[in-house]
Amino acid sequence: MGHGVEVRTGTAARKVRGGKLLRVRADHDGNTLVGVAITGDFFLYPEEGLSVLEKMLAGAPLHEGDEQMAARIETIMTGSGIVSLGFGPSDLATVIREACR
Amino acid sequence: MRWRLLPFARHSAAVNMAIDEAVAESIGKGASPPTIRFYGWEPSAVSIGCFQSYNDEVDELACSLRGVDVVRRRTGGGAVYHDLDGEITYSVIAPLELMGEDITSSYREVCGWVIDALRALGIEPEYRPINDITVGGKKISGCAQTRREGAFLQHGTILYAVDREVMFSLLKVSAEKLSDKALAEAGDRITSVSELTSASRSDLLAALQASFCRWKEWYERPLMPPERSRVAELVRDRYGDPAWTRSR
Repeated sequence: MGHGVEVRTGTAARKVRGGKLLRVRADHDGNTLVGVAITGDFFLYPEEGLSVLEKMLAGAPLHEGDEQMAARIETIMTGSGIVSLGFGPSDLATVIREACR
Repeated sequence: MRWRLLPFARHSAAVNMAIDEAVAESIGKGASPPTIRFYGWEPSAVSIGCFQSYNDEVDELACSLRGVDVVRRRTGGGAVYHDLDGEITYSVIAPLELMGEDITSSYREVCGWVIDALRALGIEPEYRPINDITVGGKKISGCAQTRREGAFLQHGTILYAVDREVMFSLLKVSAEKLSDKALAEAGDRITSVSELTSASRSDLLAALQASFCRWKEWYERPLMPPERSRVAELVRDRYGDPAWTRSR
């Protein structure tokens, strides 16, 4: 019998100051973000970019701080030509951390 | 460039969203002119933003009991209740180069057309970036924008008369939480044309048409046959498909 790593699911939500509602449902094993679903009333261009962002965040280490996670998000968004309105990378990093707590 | 004004019409939620996308696609291919449309929703409907969670936003049972359609938009933003008689919705669909690359300034430009129409009715609105128009701090109009394949689409609503009880029974945000006090507070954050002036719904429509078409060369004409065919496909494949509406 192997030792399976337990995957837990957490959720968090935040109304970004001067922005929009950001909700995150995160699957994680305590060390790594296994999967993430991001919902809310924000805007993101192109719209298909949200699925790209969600897929590329899978596997992100959770031991990094918010700044590193925000930098990771910003790199993905810039590299994929994704523009958000109503939240920024640091807002999303914070909500992901809260969901994985 | 000459703009086309589609005649005012009421449609189901799926058809309304399919028209916007079919026209945008056709404009992106250079086959349709820039287009303005004002329209209603029959039956009344809830539209949710592209990135919203269906289960978090919509009281499915309440919508079903009231015969209210639910549709997921292609645009972001929040959940909106489109009452059959309580609001007018607009869409502005144009080649991207006509509206410019800057997202926030194009929101401001089209919202300015709504503001001018409300001013013509004696209302003093304010633009609240990104996508709201308020009167005395209360929301009277919201909108959402997308840009894809060379086309710009902004659609939005202007509240004419609000049934707050119905609105907040369909949108889960308040329905699940809330006490009458919270409902009253949520209801107090919105207003409508009929609460602010004696203007009729027809007056509002006329003011909107005049404002949106001002300084533009325009003509009124319905959808072209290829656009109508594409609407039917998009209703079948996307907007009428529960899998799309419940995809998040």
